[in-house]
Amino acid sequence: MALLTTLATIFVVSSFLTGNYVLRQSSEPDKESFSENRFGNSGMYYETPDLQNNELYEQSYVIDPLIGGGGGGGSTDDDIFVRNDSFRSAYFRNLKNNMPLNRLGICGYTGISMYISFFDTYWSDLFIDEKYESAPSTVSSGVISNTSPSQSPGVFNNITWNSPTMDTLRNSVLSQGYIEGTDAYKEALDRLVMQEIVDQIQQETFLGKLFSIALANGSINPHFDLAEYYQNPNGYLDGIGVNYDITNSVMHDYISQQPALANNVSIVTSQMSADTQSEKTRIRNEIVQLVKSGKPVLMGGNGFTDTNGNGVRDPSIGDEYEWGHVIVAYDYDEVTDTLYGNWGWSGQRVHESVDAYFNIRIHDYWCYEIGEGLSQTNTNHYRIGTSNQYLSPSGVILEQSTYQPDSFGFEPQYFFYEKNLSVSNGNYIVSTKRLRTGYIENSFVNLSPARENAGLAYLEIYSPTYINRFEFNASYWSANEYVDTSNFSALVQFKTANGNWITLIDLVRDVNLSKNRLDQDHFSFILSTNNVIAIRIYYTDLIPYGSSNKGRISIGELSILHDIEVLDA
Amino acid sequence: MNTNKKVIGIIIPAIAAVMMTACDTSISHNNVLLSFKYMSISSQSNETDLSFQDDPDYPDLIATFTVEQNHVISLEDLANIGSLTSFIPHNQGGYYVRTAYYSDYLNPLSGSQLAEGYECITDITFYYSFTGGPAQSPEKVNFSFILLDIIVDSDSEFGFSFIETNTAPIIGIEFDYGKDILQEDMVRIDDEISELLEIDSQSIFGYFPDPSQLSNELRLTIGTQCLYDQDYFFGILD
Repeated sequence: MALLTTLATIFVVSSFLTGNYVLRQSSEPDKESFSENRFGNSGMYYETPDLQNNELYEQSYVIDPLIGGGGGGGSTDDDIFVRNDSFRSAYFRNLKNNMPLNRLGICGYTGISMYISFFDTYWSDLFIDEKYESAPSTVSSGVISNTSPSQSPGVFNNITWNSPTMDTLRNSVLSQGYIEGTDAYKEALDRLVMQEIVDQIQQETFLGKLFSIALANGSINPHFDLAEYYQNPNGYLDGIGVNYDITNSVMHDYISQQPALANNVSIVTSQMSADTQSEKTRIRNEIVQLVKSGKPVLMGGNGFTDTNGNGVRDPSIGDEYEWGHVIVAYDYDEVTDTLYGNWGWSGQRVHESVDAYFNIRIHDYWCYEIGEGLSQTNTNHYRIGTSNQYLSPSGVILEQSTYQPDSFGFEPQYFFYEKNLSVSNGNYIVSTKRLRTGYIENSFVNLSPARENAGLAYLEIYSPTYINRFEFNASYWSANEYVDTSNFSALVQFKTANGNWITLIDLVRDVNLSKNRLDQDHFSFILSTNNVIAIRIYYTDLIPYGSSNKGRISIGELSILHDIEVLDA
Repeated sequence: MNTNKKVIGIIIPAIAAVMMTACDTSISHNNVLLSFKYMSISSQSNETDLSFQDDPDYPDLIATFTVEQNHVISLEDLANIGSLTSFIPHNQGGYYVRTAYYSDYLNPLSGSQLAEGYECITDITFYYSFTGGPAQSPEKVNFSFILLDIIVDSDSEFGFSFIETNTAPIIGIEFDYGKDILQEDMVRIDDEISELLEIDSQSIFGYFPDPSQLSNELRLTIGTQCLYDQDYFFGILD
């Protein structure tokens, strides 16, 4: 239970004004730098912290009401991360369109996206920023199975079947009169490829996020920079493929750049140390062991199509060229010793034999290890019908309750004493406590601590069920509230069962809160703990004075994502 | 005078000794330069006939790695060298695997390879290349059509619902991967099924991917993209 109460709460602040997103942590986890420990000559590396605590997953597991077999997957006893394998199988069998469409040979990035989106759905919504996610998938009932829903949630994809392929780009350059092989041709192609990359970054897709990481660490190495050519010894960019080093650097840098993940997620990875059958077998065996432990594994390798059926690749036959691919392996049939994966091809080959396909080499793999600081929490990626309820893979049903400022029924006054009120939203009834907080001018819920004999304003909301996340719009009432950061503080806090109030953000000191109530900022808080019972805004003014109500912060629409199972009194 | 000569005699050897020490130090810290040159693969047949040649597009793609003499290559060294040589020439997208580092580019398998445990004695150039490339993409999608019995169901959006009687597809129709279903495709589906069952195509009620969830949103229709193999369920109205 101690593991479940570990707090590492993260929140996301998005500003309507700037469009910027800021990630912060309320409690600083133990700092442990990444390093590598060698395990003999196996070629397997574990990046610290050493987090192979399988007990964690068992303790964090709540209930698994999911149905559907694992396609002959490992036994229940073997499955640790996803206990009876049903969700993992259902997720990857139906992960079809919610990934970057592989039109430019971006299989590495598509594979990474598929891999991370599984953890974002199954383990914690902190793996992928909300702005990159696809819309929730719809389930008709309280189960997730191999056949329902038909699409798994993942990341939003903006690449269409009309988007260019590498052939399209090359033909485009040729059609402009460039001669293949010349520097002018390479420069023109380089620009077109980079334009595709820049488009993804500017459109703020998840693929764009991965591209920006690859650009920053040199994995994507364009010939030109800021439209000015320079002589790059590495030559011209003519594609966006990956190899072990590129995939490894993008996987690693993605984790290290996410504050919520950096100290809590490590990567188990290995690659063939020699192009031999024994090394291929070693890599495969390690992948199988990880899959049997209940985890999906990102992996890459090479193969060929044996067109003449002689069992070997004939380089002289054009159709038997060697290709490479990156997939997610997620299922293993012990009886037939078959490893299965999702190919990232928009629903084609969602459950395909890895061995039959990668007939040259299974070259490498990556697998997350999750530490104690990142508990499994409920996610809202599966919507139940058209209702406001969501089925978390953890088995918990969540409900979204939304409040407009007038929903609370507060008086249009700033009382100098605490007022209590129960507020119903369907069957969800919260109790509120407030001080110097009222519904003002039929427009916003205002908190005002700045007045003589005041100095404190708060709004506390107590939920009958656990709160998973909440979000609200906020601003100052006007540009003339006389708020200064030395005397004022407006803490957004949450409270766990039997716990103290824990601060997420200070609306006065941590952000430049909008001064225009018609253009409020939006705040969204994903709670990385499962037992939150209350939230509040606690607003203080150390030197209150004057006879008018000042320092006013206005709260607009507020919504709470909460369990539906009522807590014991 | 004699005294002076003695002092000089002591000082000179001392300077010589210092100079010799400095010289020795220089020798004991010799560095070895490992060079890694990208080449293209000129021939490859399984693992027995591999040779490299210069790639005119990348004549100077050479990375260098300096170690102390007699240094023994570790896995960490190999990881660092891997980063230095991770650029993929002639990258068409897809997934690539770097070959080993060979000392002999004409007949790589007969020379030495850089591996964990290699002792760096003299400057040397290793040659490497990449295999792999864009993976095959799927070309065809197969839609299978399954006939079910229909019952009147006032709760259903359509007034009907399916009874699962037989889940064997009666026909499969292939489409190009990624294409949008057009009106002519719908006509083709209706025609093939009605011809097979000897019915009027107007009496076909379907095609739904989930027999328990009859919804226009899910229905196979004009605009549906052919992205993956899919079963579609239908019935026949009297």
